[in-house]
Amino acid sequence: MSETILQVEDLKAYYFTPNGVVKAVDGVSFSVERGRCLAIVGESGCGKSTLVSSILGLLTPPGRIVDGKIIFEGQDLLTKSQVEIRQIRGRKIGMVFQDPMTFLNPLMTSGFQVAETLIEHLNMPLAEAMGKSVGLLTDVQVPDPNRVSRSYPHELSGGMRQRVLIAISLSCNPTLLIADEPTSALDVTIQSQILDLITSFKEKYKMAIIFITHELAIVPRIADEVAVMYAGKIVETGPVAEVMQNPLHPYTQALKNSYARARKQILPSIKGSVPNLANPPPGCRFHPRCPYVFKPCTTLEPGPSTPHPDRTVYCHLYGSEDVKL
Amino acid sequence: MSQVGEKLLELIDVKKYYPVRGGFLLRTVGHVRAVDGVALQIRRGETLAIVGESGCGKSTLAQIIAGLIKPTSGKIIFNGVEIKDNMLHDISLRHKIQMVFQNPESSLNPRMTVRDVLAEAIKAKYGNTIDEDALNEKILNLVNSVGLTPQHLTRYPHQLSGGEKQRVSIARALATEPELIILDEPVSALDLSMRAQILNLLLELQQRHYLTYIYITHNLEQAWHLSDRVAVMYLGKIVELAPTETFFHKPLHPYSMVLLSSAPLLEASFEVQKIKPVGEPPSPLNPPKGCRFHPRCPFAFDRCRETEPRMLEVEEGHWVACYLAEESSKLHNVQPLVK
Amino acid sequence: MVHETKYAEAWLRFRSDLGAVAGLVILTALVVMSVLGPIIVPEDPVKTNLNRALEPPGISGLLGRDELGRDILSRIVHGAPVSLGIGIFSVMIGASVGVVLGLISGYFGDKTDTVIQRVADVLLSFPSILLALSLVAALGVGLVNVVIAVGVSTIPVYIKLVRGQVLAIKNEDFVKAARLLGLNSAQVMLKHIMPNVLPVIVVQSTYYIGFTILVASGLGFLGLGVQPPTPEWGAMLGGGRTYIFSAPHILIFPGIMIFVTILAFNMVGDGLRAALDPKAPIVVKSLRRKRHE
Repeated sequence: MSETILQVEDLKAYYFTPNGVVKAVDGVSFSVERGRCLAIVGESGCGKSTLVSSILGLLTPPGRIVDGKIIFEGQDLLTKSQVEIRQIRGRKIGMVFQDPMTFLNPLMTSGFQVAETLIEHLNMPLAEAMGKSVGLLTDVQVPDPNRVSRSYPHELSGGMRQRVLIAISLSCNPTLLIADEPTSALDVTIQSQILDLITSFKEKYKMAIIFITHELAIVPRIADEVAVMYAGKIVETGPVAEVMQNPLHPYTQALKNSYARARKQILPSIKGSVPNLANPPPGCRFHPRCPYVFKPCTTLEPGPSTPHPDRTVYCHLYGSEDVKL
Repeated sequence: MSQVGEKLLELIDVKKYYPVRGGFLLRTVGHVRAVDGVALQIRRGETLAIVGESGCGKSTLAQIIAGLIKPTSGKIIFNGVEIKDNMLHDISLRHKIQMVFQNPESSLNPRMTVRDVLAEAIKAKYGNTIDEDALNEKILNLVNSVGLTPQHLTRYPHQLSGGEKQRVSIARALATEPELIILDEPVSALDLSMRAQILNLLLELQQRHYLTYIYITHNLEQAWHLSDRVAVMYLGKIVELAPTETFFHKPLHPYSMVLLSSAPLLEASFEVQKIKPVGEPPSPLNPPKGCRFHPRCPFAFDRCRETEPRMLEVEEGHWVACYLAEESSKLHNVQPLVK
Repeated sequence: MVHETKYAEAWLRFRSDLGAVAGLVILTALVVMSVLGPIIVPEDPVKTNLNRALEPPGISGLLGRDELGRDILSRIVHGAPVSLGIGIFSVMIGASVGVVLGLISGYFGDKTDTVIQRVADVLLSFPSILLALSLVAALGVGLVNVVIAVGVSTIPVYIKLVRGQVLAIKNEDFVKAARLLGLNSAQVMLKHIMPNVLPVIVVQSTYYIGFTILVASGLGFLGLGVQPPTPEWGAMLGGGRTYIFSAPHILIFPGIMIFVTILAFNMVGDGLRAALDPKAPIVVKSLRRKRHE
């Protein structure tokens, strides 16, 4: 039984800077179901950080959400007040970010930081919260949870800090977990452990997960569905196995091609670089770099096409039902 | 495919220890054993990948080979000549070994244009009195060979993308016509679409100039893609050394198996025994007694906890420092050769 | 947007800071005053006229006369090059010694570093004016000695500042790359480290010129700096001390000059700091106008 936990509809978030309007997120739509993990894959400059900030209500001026809906458990977050959002964020929506060192308070012990969330959101008394905190640290497979609970962030390794961050994010049993590049700064063996940990929580608590990454290779290990983001727009979505096996959008194909198939292979590479979001190319934003570019690409933005059930791609190669101007 | 030739570089028991000072009088209380007895031979034209996670000493080793860090002990022999301390002042030797660094942001002097960077490198090789026309010609050649245009010459680093900055770093490394280039995670900081371009460039340049590469990385996909041989480092020591195909199909050291199990390889066509990594890497200040990997090794037995295994050649070109591998090779009647 | 040179970009950033521009205008006016003023101004600043002592502004001379009947306007104008000169030369002395020591200390580290840093620490433990005072006590009063004393008192800050920058820069990859090219220590320091330290030195020096003028004025006020009859704003303050209630104009005008001068240097320093930071955004004002259309 799949219940949609988060549905984002045509979200637009722009930055209004003195040098122009940066359309960081420009009409993004996707959904995540209970117990499923959606990976959002994109390189730097694609707008994924802005997307995360928008969903969490953390977007600050000059950034502003201009249009769209963020429907969480049936309610549009954009219609809620800051107070209401604060009650949801941290409690019903957990967050894990890339660099635990900047997100943990260096002056508080790890155990206390986990407990803090429980105290804030659930009004738990301190002693009980500290007890539960050690329990959570055990759940995230921290060795010697009591010692870690008493330790300060700088006394812990990168992998341990990330586990502490995950413990904090899970403390109030959220229905949605947003993980923004949580393993990018970690060694590959620790990364593997953390990915397994997140997957085990998905299965145990049936959480919905949004996993943001720039490393396409991780996606099959963690996600059920994948959405590929480029220059502020989603260009392709679908089940992971299918998209990895048979990528439809030329950009997804290019990402896949950046991994070598044979030793000493000269990789098929795409020319150019990510566009400036203050002045994106007209029509399809990928067209200056696309090997298959043809007439409509330079002037018309492609709308969604569904060449297979469950798969959506925004590309003129697949013809589109509604073409946006 | 580059032809692999004679021995270019040899490292014999290279060590680098950093003293740790503690206490009131700041006496030396211990040592961080960043590199703890590394032996390697690198042949001309080959690409050797050195893989390992953070803290294994690969970056320190890279800098020792480049001559940026003086080893605590051990020998480095380049082109048959032993590099002694005072020889690092021999500029022609310096020029033969160059390096490309990981972080494009700190690789270029923010106050120098691309042209300044390349001119400096060329003048370092050919002298300050080089003819202006000759200098310009060489600069243009370098720019072209790394896929940049003359328009890039007047730009400052902050006006270049990450990929462009790395291209400039590569051009600078090529300017002194080196024989060996050490690449320390050259594409880790770049986006996926940029990586392919730079990796292609590196392959091309190697062919064209018959370069020898030492490719340092924690990314096994890149090691597989680019290298002829793979050396795995753990806590300052090399634990396995093998030709690439052999390494990926038949890794012998448990740590190698752990690495391969953890690497999110896309075209996962390697039938590797999946080993779950246990615990965290220990600190290089206090490595465990015996085999350094034993606390995390699922196969550890008594001998592993007592003494450190030596590197043995269990089959041709395939070296491992592991008692388990030693035992299994005996079972297959292969005579290990001791180095 | 790709600008032609770093200097063009720096200027744009500087220009967008109104305070910095105002400061620059004031400093330009001061320089003009220093150069042209002594030629234009009618009276001899040194000539005393006891009959007309303490005359308030208006009656004769724009700014009145001091306790010895000298024309205050002339003294202010002639004092400008004195103060500016002290500021610039003392900073030059301090910077040339301090920067070199800071470079050596930071680059070579180890014992050299320890020795230089301890010396700097000892000097820093004195408040600047006290340090300058002790040097004046040793050297004697007068313009040249003031410049030396105040200059030396700025050395420790330069050492610390430059050393910090060098430490931050010397482990950057581009410095390693320079060493790989075979450049020796001196070449690396001059070609790679210095240019990146320079912005910090420029900004600090700008603030410091204002500061040294203040210290010199303080010495002048105490009678231990520039000696009369040479006009110096601080000395003018000192001389007029006892007339604070009866003839405040003697104090007000030199006081204002000191205040405005130092303020101007500080504002220009702030502007330079933002201008020389390549990461600071450039606000291009022309776009603002466009969006209102």
